[in-house]
Amino acid sequence: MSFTNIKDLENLGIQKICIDSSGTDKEFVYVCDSENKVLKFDKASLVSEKKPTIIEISDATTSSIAWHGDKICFGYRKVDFLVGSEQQLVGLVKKGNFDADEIAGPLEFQMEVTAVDVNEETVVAGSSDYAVKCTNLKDPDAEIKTRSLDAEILCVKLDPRNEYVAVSTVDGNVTIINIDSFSVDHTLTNVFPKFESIDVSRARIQMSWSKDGKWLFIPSEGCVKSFLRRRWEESGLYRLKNHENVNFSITTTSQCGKYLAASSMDNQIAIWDSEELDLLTSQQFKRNAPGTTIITDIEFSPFSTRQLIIADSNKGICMFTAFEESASTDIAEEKKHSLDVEDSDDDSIILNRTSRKKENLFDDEAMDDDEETRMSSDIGAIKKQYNFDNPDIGALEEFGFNVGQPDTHQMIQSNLPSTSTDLMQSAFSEPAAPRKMVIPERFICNSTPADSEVAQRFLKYNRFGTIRSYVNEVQKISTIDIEFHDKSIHGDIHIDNFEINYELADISMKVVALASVENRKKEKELDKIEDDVEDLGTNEPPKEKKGTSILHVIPVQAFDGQRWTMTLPRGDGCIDVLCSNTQVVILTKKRNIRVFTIGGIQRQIFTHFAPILTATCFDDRIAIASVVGSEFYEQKKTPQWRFEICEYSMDQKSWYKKSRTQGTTGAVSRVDVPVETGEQLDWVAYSSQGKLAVMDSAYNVHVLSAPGFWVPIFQGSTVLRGVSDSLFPVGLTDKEFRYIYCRGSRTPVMNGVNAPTTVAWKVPFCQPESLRTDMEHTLFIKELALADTILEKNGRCSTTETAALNSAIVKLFAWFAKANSDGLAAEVASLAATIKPIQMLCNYASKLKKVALAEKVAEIGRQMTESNDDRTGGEDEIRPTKRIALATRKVRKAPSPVPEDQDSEDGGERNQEDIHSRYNTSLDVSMSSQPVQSLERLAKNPFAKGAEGSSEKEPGTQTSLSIFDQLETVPVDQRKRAREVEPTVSSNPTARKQAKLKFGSNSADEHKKKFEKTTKSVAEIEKENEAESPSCVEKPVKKRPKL
Amino acid sequence: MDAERCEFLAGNTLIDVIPSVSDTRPIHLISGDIGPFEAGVPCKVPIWTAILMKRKHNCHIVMPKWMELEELKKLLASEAENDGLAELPDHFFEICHMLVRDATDDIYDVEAVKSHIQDIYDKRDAKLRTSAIAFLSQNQTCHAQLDCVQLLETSAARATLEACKQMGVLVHNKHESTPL
Repeated sequence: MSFTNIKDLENLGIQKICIDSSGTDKEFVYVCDSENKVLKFDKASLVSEKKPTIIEISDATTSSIAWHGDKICFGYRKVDFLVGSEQQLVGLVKKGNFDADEIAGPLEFQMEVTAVDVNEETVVAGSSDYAVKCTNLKDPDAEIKTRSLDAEILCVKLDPRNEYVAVSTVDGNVTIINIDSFSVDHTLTNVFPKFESIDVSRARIQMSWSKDGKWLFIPSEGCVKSFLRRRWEESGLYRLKNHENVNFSITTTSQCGKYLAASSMDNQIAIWDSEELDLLTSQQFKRNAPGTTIITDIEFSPFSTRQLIIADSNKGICMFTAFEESASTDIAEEKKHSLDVEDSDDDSIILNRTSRKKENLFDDEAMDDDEETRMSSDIGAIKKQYNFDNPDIGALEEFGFNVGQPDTHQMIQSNLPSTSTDLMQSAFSEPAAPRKMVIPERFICNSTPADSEVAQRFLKYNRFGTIRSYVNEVQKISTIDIEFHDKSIHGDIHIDNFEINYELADISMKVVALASVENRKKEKELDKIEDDVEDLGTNEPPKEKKGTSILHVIPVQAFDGQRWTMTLPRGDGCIDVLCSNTQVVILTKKRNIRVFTIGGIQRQIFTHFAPILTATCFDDRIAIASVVGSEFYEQKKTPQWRFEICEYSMDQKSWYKKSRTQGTTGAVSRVDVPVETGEQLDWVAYSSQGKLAVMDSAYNVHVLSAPGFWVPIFQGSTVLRGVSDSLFPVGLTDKEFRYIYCRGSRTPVMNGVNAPTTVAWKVPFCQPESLRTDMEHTLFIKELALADTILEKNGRCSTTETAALNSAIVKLFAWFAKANSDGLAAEVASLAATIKPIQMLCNYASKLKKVALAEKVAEIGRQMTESNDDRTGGEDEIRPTKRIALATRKVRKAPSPVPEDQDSEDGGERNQEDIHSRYNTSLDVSMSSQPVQSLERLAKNPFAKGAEGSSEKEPGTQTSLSIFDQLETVPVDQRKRAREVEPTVSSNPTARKQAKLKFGSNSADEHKKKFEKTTKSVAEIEKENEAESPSCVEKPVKKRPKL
Repeated sequence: MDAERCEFLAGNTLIDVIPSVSDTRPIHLISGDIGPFEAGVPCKVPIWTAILMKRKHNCHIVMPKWMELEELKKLLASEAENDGLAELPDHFFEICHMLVRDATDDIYDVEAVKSHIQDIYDKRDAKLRTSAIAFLSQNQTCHAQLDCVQLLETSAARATLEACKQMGVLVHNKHESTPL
């Protein structure tokens, strides 16, 4: 098995080979391209230097040609520039005479002729206008029979018995038409995967009949199918190992009828025994030439029955020797069947020319001492030796040369002594050509991937509702069902989708948006209509061509909500549609983002800077995910990409006020997206509160928190039960994630009820089974919630969330305190956002008789108070330094309640006292000797409320100590010691606490009570402290030594 | 106890529904509170409530896992393999009957589901009859144990069980009166 050198054709694109189907002419082969050339090859011109005969057809050919006997039919386009008309014709030439005057036009179509076939008496052709036409060539008055099918025609093939014509169409069907009545005898549905339109990258589905017409061979996915005549039942499959998912494109049968050859879209060529279904040989067709190479046609060679002629889309044609001479006895038999047995020696000489010449080359003495000869520096000589000097044979790139690029390596080598060649080779080795790595494919969140095979799919399934698409091509039914989860918003909506074919959709609480993608067929039809209209019209300037991508919007909760439709410009069709409660957004092919109001006003249009991977929107925000940079690798694993989300804030009222020159990014913000190693981004959405969330292909869900870091809230791998199972995300709330568990599929079932699973956010803390972890988790979640409320500047929610956070802190503190983890408890206490819980924690610690912990918590409280005051003071910037000295003095004479009362007359406002106490701790004693200024004057806080009339404040509140100093609890023995050291302290701690905290009154009676209690015995005090330990207050012991 | 009462009792079994309406207020029932409801989000309610909601088109009923076709096939196979009765979920037949009657459009391939449930019932019924006949046709023992009987089957076989009881008395009397 070998390929001959590849010869260049004239043009790129689909090439159609044609041989004489009658078997009469075995000298020539015609190749028709999609430009305007028909090349006539003979045996020599296919394999040697000889050039083929080039036949130019005006004005364009259509890669469709057929030959039977003296008749050659081909599709072409004829333009009359004077009249301005264009004809799509099937040309008929006889005896190889392609003179323009000699070309007859038996058939004419409205659009491009895509397929043609001819036999002794009938010519049949198909076109992009879905029509198949047929006429009898023997009868000059024969009528032209026409049959319109449902899709573009790919191939027409006449039955050898001239009873039927098989027609393959792009919708995956093959129609068998009776030639006499020209009626559809049978339709084989879904024989091969359907596709949109004819293109070089699509399978060409070239069918063939067996020699006796008993079987029809149709290329399909992973195999070639054979259908039995008349019954039209699938009777056999011709398979190729490891090519189950590859589409076969071309089939052809040998003239003896024994062999069936086929080529696939990955350029694999296979030959089977057509009767036994045995695979005889298969070979991969490879080219090193730049550009895309796809085999567009194969035919058994008329020159030798052992060979195939192969034409590809990359201007290449060659011959493939399928069987060696000593292959099998079948070949010998086949030779007998052959009508004209060729001289095998000639063939072998021609077909093995390259290999034989190469062998000779390597035997050549000149090659032995290559470095010493002219060839080492003369590329021309080398080329000549390899027969590369012929420009028509074997493009250099087939052998790994870079054509059109300066060969620097060669130049350097020629200028240097031969001894340094190796060194230079290593120093100036050619860099490896950059590999092409395609970025992850674009996808639409919350929808079933588009698949032509699937009759039903979810265009959108999100937290507002579902949009389903049903297609039944046989019955020509296509509908869209729109259902809101909440029927009170709107009832179900059913739309006929057969005409427009909406493929994109989105649903929100207030609007439903549908959009169709661009359709080439429809564009052609529109052009045709417009051209007709222009022909009739005057000399008006040409109008802009109308697009086929349509946006249809159904407002459901809008004032005077009329449905509206918008046609997008041609070439800028829709690729995704999004809608929120305030806007409808269209993403287009040109990466434009078009924003509409719900009513249909076009608001903004701007262009995204990168390939759009997916997108979502919430209220006036649009988030578009893109791939940033090229792929990267970690430890030689699969390629990975960096993903990024660009968020556009499109506030309809004030978007233009967000200037990017004012130290911000304007209305655009960008954030990187976390994905697991080797995984890709799979889902982007906003939560019901507008938090951005993403999910990777390993089903890890992350939420973008207010501080800006991504928090993992769900790990899908923990809930997946099977390898083939998957999770389909539905939505996210502020505390929950919802998904549908898909068993054995990637998408939810279309039949039956899909029950979303709701899971609370679960941050993957360590040791999840522990109660402590549970509380730590709660604390973290509450902090996140509080962060969100702070970001939103929602005061009311902030208060609630702060309370919830405090509650979580208290619980965790209690847990640690009970577990005798005082250090951890103190750490928790330091996490308190406000002072309020500190007081509770301090009390609780006292209640548990954890003195050290209580002291520590009190200290934390003091520090917190100080830092708060610092912050406040820093903001106010009103802090007379001399007051420090006065405050110090005031503290020093604190013990007696009487002086306290005097001090209180100085306008003892609470905040003011706190400021005093703050500076007490760090005050240098020497400062107290500074000259005393007027106390009244300096102590007055000009910003204090009611400073003037506050002279009757209770003594407790006048102290310079903070509340935590007073709350601090000490054991009884310490208290005793304190009293021993300072017997003059007349205030009973418990009484002070009661006065200050419990009753909080300034009345004289309470003062009396307080003084009375000072006379109580120590035992009584202890008793009281025992009883009221949660709120027990005492003068801090630590303060005493200072005095 | 008849089939209707069995069904009434089975009506208190909780089942998942997907509400089509939202209501933040819970409904206070004697048996407990249900709700609040959020459209599209499954919640558990008693079957009788689910059926009432379904009739008002206020919800879709989510079939229990064991009522899926694959699970029913497994149950049927298990029933065929075991000599005794296979273990079924509580109120299996009653729940199936209620759902097949009132929530047909929520069951995928409802005809196949019905057919399998009927097959399971027939197999169990046949086992019960066979064992009852075998028991009644002997006079060696007056005790028999049969596990995993559904409430509905018990009520259906009440007459047979009465007969068995009488048979037990007769056998007992026979043993008492037979001289050693």
